Amino acid sequence: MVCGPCLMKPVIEIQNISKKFSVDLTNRQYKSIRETLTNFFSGKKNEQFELWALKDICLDIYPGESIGVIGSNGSGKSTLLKILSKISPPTKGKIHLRGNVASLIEVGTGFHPELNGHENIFLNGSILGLHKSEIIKKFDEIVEFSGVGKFLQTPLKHYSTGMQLRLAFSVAAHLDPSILLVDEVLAVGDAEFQKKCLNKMMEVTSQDGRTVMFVSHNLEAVQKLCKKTVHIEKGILKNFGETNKVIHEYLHHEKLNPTKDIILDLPEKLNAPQFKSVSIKNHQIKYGEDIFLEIEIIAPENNKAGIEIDLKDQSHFPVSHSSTAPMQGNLLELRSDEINKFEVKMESLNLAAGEYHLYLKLTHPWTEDFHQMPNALRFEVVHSDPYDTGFSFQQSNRGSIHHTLSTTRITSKLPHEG
Amino acid sequence: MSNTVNSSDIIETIQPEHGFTLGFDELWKYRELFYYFTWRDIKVKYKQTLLGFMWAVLQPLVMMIIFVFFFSKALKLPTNNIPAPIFYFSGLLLWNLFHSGLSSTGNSMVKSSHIIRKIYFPRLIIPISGILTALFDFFMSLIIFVILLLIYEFTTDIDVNYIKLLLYLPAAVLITVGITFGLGIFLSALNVQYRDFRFIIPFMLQFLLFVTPVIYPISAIDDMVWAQYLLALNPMTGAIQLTRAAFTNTPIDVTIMLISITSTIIWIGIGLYTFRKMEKWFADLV
Repeated sequence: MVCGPCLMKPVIEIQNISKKFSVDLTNRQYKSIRETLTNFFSGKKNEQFELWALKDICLDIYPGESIGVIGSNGSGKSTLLKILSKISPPTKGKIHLRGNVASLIEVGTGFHPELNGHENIFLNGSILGLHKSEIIKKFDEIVEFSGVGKFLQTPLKHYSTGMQLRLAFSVAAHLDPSILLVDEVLAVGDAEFQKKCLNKMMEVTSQDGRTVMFVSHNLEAVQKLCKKTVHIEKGILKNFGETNKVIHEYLHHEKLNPTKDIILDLPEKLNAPQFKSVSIKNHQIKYGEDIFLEIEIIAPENNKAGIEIDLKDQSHFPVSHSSTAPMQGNLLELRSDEINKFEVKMESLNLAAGEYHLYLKLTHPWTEDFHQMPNALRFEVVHSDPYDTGFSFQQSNRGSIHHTLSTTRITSKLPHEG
Repeated sequence: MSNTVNSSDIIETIQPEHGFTLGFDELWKYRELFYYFTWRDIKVKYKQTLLGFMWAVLQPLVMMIIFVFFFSKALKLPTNNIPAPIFYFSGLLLWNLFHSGLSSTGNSMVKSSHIIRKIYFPRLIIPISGILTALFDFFMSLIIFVILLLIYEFTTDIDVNYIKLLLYLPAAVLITVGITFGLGIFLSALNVQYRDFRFIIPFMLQFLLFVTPVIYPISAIDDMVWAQYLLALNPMTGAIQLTRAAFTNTPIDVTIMLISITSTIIWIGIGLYTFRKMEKWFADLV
């Protein structure tokens, strides 16, 4: 383990933190007494499998550091933050904290629609751990930052979503702990307000002695805010170090999703055809290039089907939907006596640089869905520079498709007098 | 641990299981939240209602009138030589505190799930605030009760012993708050694990009304002392008996009181133990 500034003791000392979830296969959140009683008397145990959301995380964070936490969805980064903020206990391990913690898992926690803006500032502020005297002291600042000053006496239910978010972030931004934990809260509001939030966060982070942990999908924000970054994947600490280096490795050297031979042992429907394996030939493409998929399908009976592909961006937000058999035309013949292997070409993807996910579905369009594979494949657009400017367009909240524009000058002369 | 030799500066340690504490110091640290949660609940409860706080007063008043009409006038149930309105109101006063306190605490954890999953604070604040809200309603109807009492003192020959009332009523409220707290937090913790309790609580309250001497005086079963002691296991029996003792010259049955108080203390213990043991998992379960 790298020793930081050795004179100082870490403010957050994470020692072998592990977190286990028992996932009930019946897929329900809570139990019923009936179930518990019948299981008790019949000696049966509910089918459960264990899921380690975090495994043996060790991390020392020193005073004044701002640490980014990155990783794909479900990697465990939010779980780590929940353990640090005492919302959920660890299964194993220990964390020593040398400072008071405030956590922001969400902005506007506890906001009540019936109460007005003024009242909600006090309610939310105190839930976040501010004392009344502190709220009073910062009240004007909070109101000014939020820009909803005129509506302080209006019940929150009459606010627009944007106004609610602005008010919520303003309260949160005025927390003053020595350790601040932030989860993905910047992904709110319009572009302009996001910029304002980011600037405020930079101001908050740079304050003397303040330690910040910042979980985000937004690599750009992490780069701006954090000197060091942790990369967590599947509950394991993959990488920790200088932000630029960690992000670079995260994007370029990381092994992409396992892509070969995903054989599902739980057929969704009996006798229905299903994917045997799916893979992607070129994981990294440039703007305008094609993607080639190789798909193997097994069918217990001869059948016909189409493959539908949903393209989603790095936050799994839909980008596009396409099918090999639109309007039921062009159905693929599936034979029971062979492994049906297809190559699918997705043509000229004019995408901005970033990570993309493919969701696959084997279906008889409009009749029956045979097999779904959410988040089956992943690829990356490494360079998106259709104009050859040297600048690559990045996937952002402004969208992920980039159209090239061309302009033709059509000048008409000003009408002459006379 | 070798790397934490000097650990005096550690403010907090997070670990899987660290014994059993009541966590009072933390409750004190977060004391302002009691105020904000209670204030929010009261404000929201009566917002957009035409009569506002009047509802806190009207409910027991109307109930009392119905009880007087049906049980006293129609069914001619005895009221221990206490004027029927005073008899029923004194019972309803405490019963309503128990009823609304228990229904709000019992569901409080599930109702606040959105907050529990997002931020940490001592979870006990939520059910306790539910009880504080119920206490607010109690004090509103207490005002009416006192007015009623004064009216009856001047118009009838009822002999109100105010010194007894000042001693007994606060004690009765303490017992009521105690059992509401103990039973309430016990149920609220189980409710997180088993949502069945959402249905059990209203049913249980209905049942308890019949085994609490709200409608009838406990002297109605004077010939069955064992039954009286059985009823006393329900602390509301002791609490209501204590209040009514201020209007009669009959002495308090000490055995009944002791059973009720012991039962209250045991329930507070069960409640606190269950709640504290389970509260850490609330965010994962709720």
